[in-house]
Amino acid sequence: MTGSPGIRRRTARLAMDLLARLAVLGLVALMVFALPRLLPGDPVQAMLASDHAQNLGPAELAALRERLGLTGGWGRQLGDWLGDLARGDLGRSIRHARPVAALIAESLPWTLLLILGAMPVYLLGGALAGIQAGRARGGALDRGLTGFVTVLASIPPFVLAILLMLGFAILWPVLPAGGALPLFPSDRPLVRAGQVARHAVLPVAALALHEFARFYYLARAEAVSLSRRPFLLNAEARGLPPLRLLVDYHGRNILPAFVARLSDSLSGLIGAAVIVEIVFSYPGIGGLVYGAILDRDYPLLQGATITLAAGVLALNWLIDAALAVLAERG
Amino acid sequence: MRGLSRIALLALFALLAAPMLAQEDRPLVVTDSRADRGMLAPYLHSRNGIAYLYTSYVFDSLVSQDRQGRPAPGLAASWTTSPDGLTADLQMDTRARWHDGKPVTARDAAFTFAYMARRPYPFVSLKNVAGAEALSDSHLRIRLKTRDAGLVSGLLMALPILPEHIYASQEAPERFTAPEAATGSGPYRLAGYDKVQGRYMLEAVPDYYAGAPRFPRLMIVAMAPDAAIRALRGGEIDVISDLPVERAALVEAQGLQVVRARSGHVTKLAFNHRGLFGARAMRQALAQALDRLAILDITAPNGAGALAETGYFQQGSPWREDRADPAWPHDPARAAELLEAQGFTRDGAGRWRRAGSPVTLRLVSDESQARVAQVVADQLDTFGFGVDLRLMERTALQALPPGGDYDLLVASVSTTGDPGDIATRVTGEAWNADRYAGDGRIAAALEAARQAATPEERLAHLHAFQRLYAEELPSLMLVDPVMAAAHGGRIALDFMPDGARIGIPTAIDKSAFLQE
Repeated sequence: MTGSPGIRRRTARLAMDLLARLAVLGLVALMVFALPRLLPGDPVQAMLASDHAQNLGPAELAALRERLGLTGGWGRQLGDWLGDLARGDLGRSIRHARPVAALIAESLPWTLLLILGAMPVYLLGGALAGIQAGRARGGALDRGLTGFVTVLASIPPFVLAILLMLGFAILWPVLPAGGALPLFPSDRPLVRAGQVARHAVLPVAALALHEFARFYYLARAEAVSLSRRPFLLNAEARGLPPLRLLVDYHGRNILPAFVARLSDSLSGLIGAAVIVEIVFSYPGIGGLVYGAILDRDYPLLQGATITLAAGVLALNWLIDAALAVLAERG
Repeated sequence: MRGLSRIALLALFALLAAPMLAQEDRPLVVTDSRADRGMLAPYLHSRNGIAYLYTSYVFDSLVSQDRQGRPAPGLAASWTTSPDGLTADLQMDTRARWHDGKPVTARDAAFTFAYMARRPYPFVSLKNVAGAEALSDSHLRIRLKTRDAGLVSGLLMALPILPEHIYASQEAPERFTAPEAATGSGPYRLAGYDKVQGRYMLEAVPDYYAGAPRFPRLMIVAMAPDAAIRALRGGEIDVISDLPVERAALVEAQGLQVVRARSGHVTKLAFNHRGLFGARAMRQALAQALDRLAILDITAPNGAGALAETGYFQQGSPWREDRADPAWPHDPARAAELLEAQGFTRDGAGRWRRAGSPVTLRLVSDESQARVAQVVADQLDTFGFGVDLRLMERTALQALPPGGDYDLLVASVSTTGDPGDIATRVTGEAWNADRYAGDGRIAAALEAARQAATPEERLAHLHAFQRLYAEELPSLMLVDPVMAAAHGGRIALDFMPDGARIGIPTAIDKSAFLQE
């Protein structure tokens, strides 16, 4: 193998990190298999809980359980599931009577739309506001912004979502209160994209505001610290344009901290997305998982959770790799 | 910079202007506050009454229902039963067609009975069916194990008939999700289904054997109540099928039309008959310790509910005897007498004790009934009982076994539909059934009603059951919630008395979309 010792060390470390994450994924798989089964009730009970369902006899119930793959002990069910997973088969939802992979494929893009829509908003917004506040530490802007963000940070995501809905969809109804598309979506791609964007504004805003405070505080703290550094004082004394100071001096220096924090915030962001989707009746993976818990839909719960966990762990690994590169650049 | 501002303004205008796009030839749009109800096919729809109802738009049964809820010809144009009640002969309507154009025959019906016996469909019980055979394409014969007075208004109305040419090859119908799975013989065919958005587009079958449906297209969309009210006001939708009743006055004030009805899905206080409340006197004591009128006033103000009848059947039920059931009015002195006769004593602080120990009642419920459960707990506490109130997650509550770790349970139960399955709701073991055995008189009355030879005889047994229920109190009925639906005038709606089909309280039974 060629390459410097530094590159080899980095590669070995990344490989170790990957193995560690695979181990975590294995642990998540075991937990997501066991935990729903420890909850009281099971899928058949949930399925037959309706007032209008008839009492099935023991033979009929046994046949139903067999058809739903709920027979055999935990060991057999776990073995079957892991075997299916190894073949790339996430199983079949009991409630939705469809392959779990298809359900996730239909829902996940909507959740990703919210997350990817919110990320630039809170990253750029948090950075700009935080840097400006940090550069003028103790000034009116800093006091006002920090006070506002502190109040914002104390509001739980579901309350924030409800307040946004109340403000912009009910009291001043300029945006839709729920859903991802209008009643009659347009066939024209551009118009349809506009309709999708319009429906995403409030959920994206709720998500972005939820994460905004975290990055605002980070950017502000970094800006306060940087403002005292000689190279920045020197640059200001040289009369560099404000935009260049902001981007080349503050921006570049807070980038590693932002990337590190991004890794940390991903799981929280997905948790908040679940809540925001439920409030706005948005058709993402949040409602799917929530319904799967209520209906004890083991295959769907297992499939959705393992998919999300794999995604978060993979992103974390990529972010860690990027951080390693940034750290080596100094 | 000015260019950027212009672009931003144009984008904002595009976003705000999006809803103003013209829509022509709009279908009748019905909203549902819940999301997706599953594919509209018997083995694929969600396991709840509304999903069953939507599926009934696509799949007809042998017997239909008119706007008053009475049995009416469906796929069977006429029927007769033998004097012993064990054989039913049905003449099929030869005009009926599957949505793919093939004729509906008695063989399809016989196939459905056999298929569903092997693969149970949760909304229909075929335990009492000995067999079904097609004597010809138009003549179906059904044989029963025992007489069933509810055969026509129960089983035959509930059972969706499947096309044999499509389902015969399907060993696992839960996995059959191709569009052909929704090939029915009903007035509407499923033209579009967006699972993610929770939307259905149904197209009328123009040559439907019972007459062309009133609306060429019917659209069902998931929409939260506030958004639905706004959309109804703006003329974007036509019907809010499940308007929260507390918003009804607001909607009426906006010039829209609202229909209301008692739901018959009663909030009740169920007893653990294997514990403290095995004795009738204990149940009657508790009934008089509670102030049901106060519970109603607090939990369902401004007409959101009515005081429930204690004899199981609620006002408006065709099975109810028009008599005053014992109301068990709030009477703490009488309740105390009954408790003392059962060996309870009161300490100096007015708290109830038994065998020298304080009495704490374990009251369970879920979030949907939290308010009622809290008021019941408060009243029992005031009366002198200790109360341990546990609000459980819905499915966890449903897993609570008979005789489990509780004394009292607040739950909602349906009292509507054909009385053929009341026994499962009273003596059955389901989580919200009464789980009551008693001295067997109630079970005997229900069995006698099931096997009655004439409608009059059946009614007499059901009236006897009503009287027994109000005296024995397998459960104490508390509140009968009122339901509401709103519409903009494009369709006339009314709630079907005693619920649609299997007792679903709704104003949008499929008969609402058919010509009178």
